[in-house]
Amino acid sequence: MNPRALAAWSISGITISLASGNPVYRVLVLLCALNVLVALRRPDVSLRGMGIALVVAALIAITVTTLASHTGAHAFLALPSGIPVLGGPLTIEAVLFGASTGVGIAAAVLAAAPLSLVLMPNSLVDALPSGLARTGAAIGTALNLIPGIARSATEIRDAQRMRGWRPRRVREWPDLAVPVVLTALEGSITLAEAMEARGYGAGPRTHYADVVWGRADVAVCVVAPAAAIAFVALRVAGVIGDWYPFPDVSLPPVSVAGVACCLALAIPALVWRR
Amino acid sequence: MIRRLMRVALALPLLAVGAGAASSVTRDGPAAPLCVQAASSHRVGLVVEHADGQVVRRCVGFDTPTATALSALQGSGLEVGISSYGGGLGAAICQIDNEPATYPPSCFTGAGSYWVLFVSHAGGAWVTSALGASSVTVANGDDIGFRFDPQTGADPPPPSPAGTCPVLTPPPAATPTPAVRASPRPNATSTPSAVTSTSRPATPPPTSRPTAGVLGLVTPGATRASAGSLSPGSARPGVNLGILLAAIGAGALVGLLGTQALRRRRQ
Amino acid sequence: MNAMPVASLTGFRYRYPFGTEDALDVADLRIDEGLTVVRGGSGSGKSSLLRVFNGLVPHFHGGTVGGRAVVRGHDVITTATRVLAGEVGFVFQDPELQSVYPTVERDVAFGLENIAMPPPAMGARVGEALERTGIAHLRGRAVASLSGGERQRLALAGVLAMRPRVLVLDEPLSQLDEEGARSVVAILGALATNGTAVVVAEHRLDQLGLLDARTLTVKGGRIVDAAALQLSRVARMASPSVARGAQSTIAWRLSGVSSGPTRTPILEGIDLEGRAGEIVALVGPNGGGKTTLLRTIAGLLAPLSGQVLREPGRVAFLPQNPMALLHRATVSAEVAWTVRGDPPSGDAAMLIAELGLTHLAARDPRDLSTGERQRAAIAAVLAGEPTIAVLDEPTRGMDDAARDALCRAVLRMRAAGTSIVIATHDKNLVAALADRTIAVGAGAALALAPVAVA
Repeated sequence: MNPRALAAWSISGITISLASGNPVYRVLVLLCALNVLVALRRPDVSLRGMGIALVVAALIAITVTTLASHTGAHAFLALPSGIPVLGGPLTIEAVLFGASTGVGIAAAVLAAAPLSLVLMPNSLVDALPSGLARTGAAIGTALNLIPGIARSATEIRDAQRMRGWRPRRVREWPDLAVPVVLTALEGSITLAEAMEARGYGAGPRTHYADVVWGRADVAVCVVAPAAAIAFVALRVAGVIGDWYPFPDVSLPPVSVAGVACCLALAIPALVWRR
Repeated sequence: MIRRLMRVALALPLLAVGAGAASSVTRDGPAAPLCVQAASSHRVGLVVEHADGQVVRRCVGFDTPTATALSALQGSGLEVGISSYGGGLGAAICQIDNEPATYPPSCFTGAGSYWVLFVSHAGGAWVTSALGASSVTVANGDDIGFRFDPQTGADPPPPSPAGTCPVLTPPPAATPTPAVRASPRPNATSTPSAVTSTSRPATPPPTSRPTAGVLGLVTPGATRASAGSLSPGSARPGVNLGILLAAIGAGALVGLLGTQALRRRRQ
Repeated sequence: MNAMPVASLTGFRYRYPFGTEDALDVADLRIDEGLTVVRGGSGSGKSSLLRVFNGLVPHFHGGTVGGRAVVRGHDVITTATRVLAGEVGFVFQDPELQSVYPTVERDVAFGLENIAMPPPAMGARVGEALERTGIAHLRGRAVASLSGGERQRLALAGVLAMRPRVLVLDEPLSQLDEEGARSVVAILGALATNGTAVVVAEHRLDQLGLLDARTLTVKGGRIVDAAALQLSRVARMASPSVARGAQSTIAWRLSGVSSGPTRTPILEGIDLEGRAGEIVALVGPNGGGKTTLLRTIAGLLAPLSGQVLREPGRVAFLPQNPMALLHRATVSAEVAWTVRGDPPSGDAAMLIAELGLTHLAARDPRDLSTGERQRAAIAAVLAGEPTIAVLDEPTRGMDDAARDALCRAVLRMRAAGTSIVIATHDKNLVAALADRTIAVGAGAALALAPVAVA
């Protein structure tokens, strides 16, 4: 799985999910992204937390839209008009529009998620263009430090607890924070020293090409952006329409070409294997 | 457990799409009486159905290739009251032909009646519009309909627009009717002109058959007039195919998701 | 033997920025091919000396420098570290703070990327380095999944890929278990006999004692003698034994305990108990469950099944890096904080005195040398009279003076009736202190017969 191909796919997915307000396309992008995540995620990764967060975000979108916009033909509840902002009828159309917004958020987030849940964390820096390779190496090693810092933070917390420390008052937090920060600083200085001892510094630099472009990688890198570009072009041309359920609920307009563009985003789940 | 939730959550949009596809709005009414001809090169038929069932028909012409439904309505000569919504939602139609007699500034009374816009493209069935009248564009051969919907009971479309804009028969003189075209040079938005008359539903006088020479003046959309009423139940083919494909695609993706989850679980 | 030394220092002096005195003052030093062992306590200048060979002193650390140092024909003071990195490889103490990329193969190639080697040539070098360090079978693995010994060999491979003629290692074994240490030592021996100049600073000299080595001792920034290698041994410390056996009370007991950091247990069916005034040593490979068992006894980890009983009272826990805990203004303040809940007694002051920290009690711990800080941390954590004391790899990175201080503190606690548990792979420490030894690994804990000092 070439990181640059995956990055191209993610950008395409985000573009499509945000380019049109039509929930049908957004749902398709969401399903494609979900497929990619389930098929290719790292074995230690659980999608549970992200799933819960997205559901919460969608519920918030629905609630906010319903309470703030009072347009629509089918009201199911009416708040007293005296209340600022919230007063007025609550309509089903607003609920649906909020749901469509929530689906759009979820689709965009799920399209971006593989960058952190499929790749090794430092592989992301391989997705950077080669001019940024040195910056990428620096960022990658910084990322390397994080698990170590987390481990030492746990150990420090346990040791301080054994000495009677309890995180009760704000005054007591330096007993944990200062050692952790100092440990992190020391660790990063040590790592910087190790990097310099291996010749890292100014001057020309090459890149070990262990990440090759296989046929599948090329396919993903070509098909996904093409689908996104086509989708945007169709949107601009008016073939793909937006969807406003106001003032009355109606079926979203669905174009075959748009559906094809969205389904093309399933390609990583089909050609790549973990 | 999260997998079960995911599967249920994914089935919901599938159900919604399927339900939407099932309830397509394709109905047809009896052939309606004619309206007076309009002589512009681009015409749309306008059908307005009041709450009491009274139907007003206009044939609205314009000189630009497309026009918005709102401008067509305004060019029909009927009295129109609108209210503008911000944020790209455009304008809402509050009052047509003096119905309702009064309306609030926000146009909608919440649970009360309101004007519903229907569009028929190139002789297809009525379709409710997802956009407002100022955002919907129509071209020659399309029809727009407004129905004052009390929001109780069923929501049928207005009567068929067939015959509202009959085929043009050219006058003996070769020149087109300049009197109708009294308006100045058309600008970017359409300048519709129309000849009006109201009528009650009655048996339509016979339409004249199009001849090859006449067709040069009117776009091919007019052939529907000779065919009479449309075949019922033929929904606009593009919409249904798109929804069908989307539903099939979504189903395939859900199936793929299931197999991938099983495969990863076994790993 | 070459007339031309691999490295030489002449009249070399170095002072760190903000330093009050010279960290290094070397009149004349020659390094030749073969193995050279550098000894010295913390703060002796040993680490600074090692860093001269690849230019980290002075280029990375700054400061003022004088005299002359030549490594493989390059003048260290005027040559960039990037150039020296091709001639001198450096391996550091912490296996986890040397890897840059997440996969083994990529990480080994890091150095080659830095010297702008053409990518097609890198593959062969990477393979060769992996072979020489015996980790060719780990080629596609993720670095985070490797053990400490494997990571240290990975660091070696990353360095050997550059084909240096000089290899410098700063306490490479201190964080490794027995097996890991042995594997690294074997590689060093092979390299030394093949013509590389290997310079190692290491406290665990018993591991290296089998090799033919030249020794340097550094003290106060100076090379003091080049005596033959001597094994250092901690004699079995005589101390009055508290009444043990059936009379002394049980301080902690595990019954049928299964435990692990996550929901799957690493240890199962453990039945153990510890008495007051007793020292129990836990030995075993890293990752085998020593730390889990230790934390279960201390109460930091709840058992997945079974029962843990503890005598009421304070539990003292000395973690692997105790120096990190010190952040208060003075040493006495740290000690006082630990015993703040105990009834006042002169105990804390006595502990400070016993560890030789009386004159440093009012100083800021961060101003002390490494050895002094280690002792201050021991004092801070083990002060008072805890009922149970749990120590996790306490001698990691310690020099002889600090290790002596630790032994003294532990014996003092034993005399006061504390039940002590130590997890370690330092055999000398076990021999010196332990009343009982328990081997932990493969999910079980076995009592071992007392091991004679080797």
